[in-house]
Amino acid sequence: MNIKKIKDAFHDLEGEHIYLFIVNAKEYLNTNIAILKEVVKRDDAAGIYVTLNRPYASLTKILQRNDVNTDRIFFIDGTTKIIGETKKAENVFYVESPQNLTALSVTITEAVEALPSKNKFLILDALTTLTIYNSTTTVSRFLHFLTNRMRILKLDGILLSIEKELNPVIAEQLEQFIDKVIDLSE
Amino acid sequence: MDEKQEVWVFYSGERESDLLRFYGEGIAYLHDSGIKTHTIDVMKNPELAEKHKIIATPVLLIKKDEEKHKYVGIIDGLKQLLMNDLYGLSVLHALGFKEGRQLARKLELAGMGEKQEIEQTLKENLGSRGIHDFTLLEFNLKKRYAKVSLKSEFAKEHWKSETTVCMEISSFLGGIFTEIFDVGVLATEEKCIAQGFDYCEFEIKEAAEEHKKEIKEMVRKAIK
Repeated sequence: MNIKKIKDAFHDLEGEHIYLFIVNAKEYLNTNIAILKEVVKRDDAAGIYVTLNRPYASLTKILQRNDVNTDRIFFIDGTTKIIGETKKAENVFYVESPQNLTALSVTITEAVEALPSKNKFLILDALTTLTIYNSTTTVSRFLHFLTNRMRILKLDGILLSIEKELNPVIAEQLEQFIDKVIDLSE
Repeated sequence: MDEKQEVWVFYSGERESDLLRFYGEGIAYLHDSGIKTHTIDVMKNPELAEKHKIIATPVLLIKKDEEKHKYVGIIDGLKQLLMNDLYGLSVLHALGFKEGRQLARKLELAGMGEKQEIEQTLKENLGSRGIHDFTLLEFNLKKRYAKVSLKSEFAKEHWKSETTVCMEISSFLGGIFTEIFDVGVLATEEKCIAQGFDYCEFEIKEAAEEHKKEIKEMVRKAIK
């Protein structure tokens, strides 16, 4: 895993930006943790982590085990409700399913608006899951909306995708909205 | 997860090039869970295939406590591992959904539109997946709504349960009807053979708009 590439990605650009990280499936979790560590260590950083891939209970356990400070992260979980019982916690909101993109859009917008910090961030984990559960057109519309909101709300947007799993149509459209693509798959 | 577990996925790069892509989530799950995983193209590594006595592909080989279990077709073997925890279940759900979408595309269900034609096609194609007597009780393309009854081998073999047990069939049907309705849908099992009913019954509808006003308050409380 290329830690330097991750650090450089955030240091090269000034202000708020939208990043797409393309990650190797084998290194997905470790890379994800490294990105998150980099984001939360900035001054007054607080953000929203949208998890469509791994249930909140499982994700937070892993993050804690890896010394990632989750005190200033609010989680929006789009996967737990479709498979089982949700665990009540102060820093999580459960969305019905990864197909419910309208609810997800509204929830994300409101959650970001409520963030008290200067350095706000939003992580979407992962684009791949969105394309499993939704049509290409729906995902494109959602990403267009989401990236627009990220600009308006002035936050760093971090989109994660697994190497080779990104639909080419969506990849092409994303190029218009993304400031920087960081390919960590090699 | 048991640290002594080790997994080999044997596939043919020539004939099953899409296999790793299809099972990408499952394989990533194994890596994430600390299970040593090997993906082996038998065309490139015939000696490894021979060493492990692989005569057909795809095959999943799981070593647990020095004992090896062989699963032809991968998904059955993956299931054993995935059903162990919450994250595994969400991976299994995604795989079922993906499989449903792929089948619907293969059968060109989206172009059909007629209830009887869809019902007949699915009836003819679901038997091999342990799903029998598939019936479309209700079907409304405009409202993107369907109600389905079926007999599931899995539920029949399952021990008696107070709750429904066919999560995989729910996700599989979700995938099928996402293609038919061209919109993200949720399939919910309402009755299950494991609960004592004669059939399993599923409701399929567009993922409902759901929004709770308290989200802003929750974020403010959680992050100071």
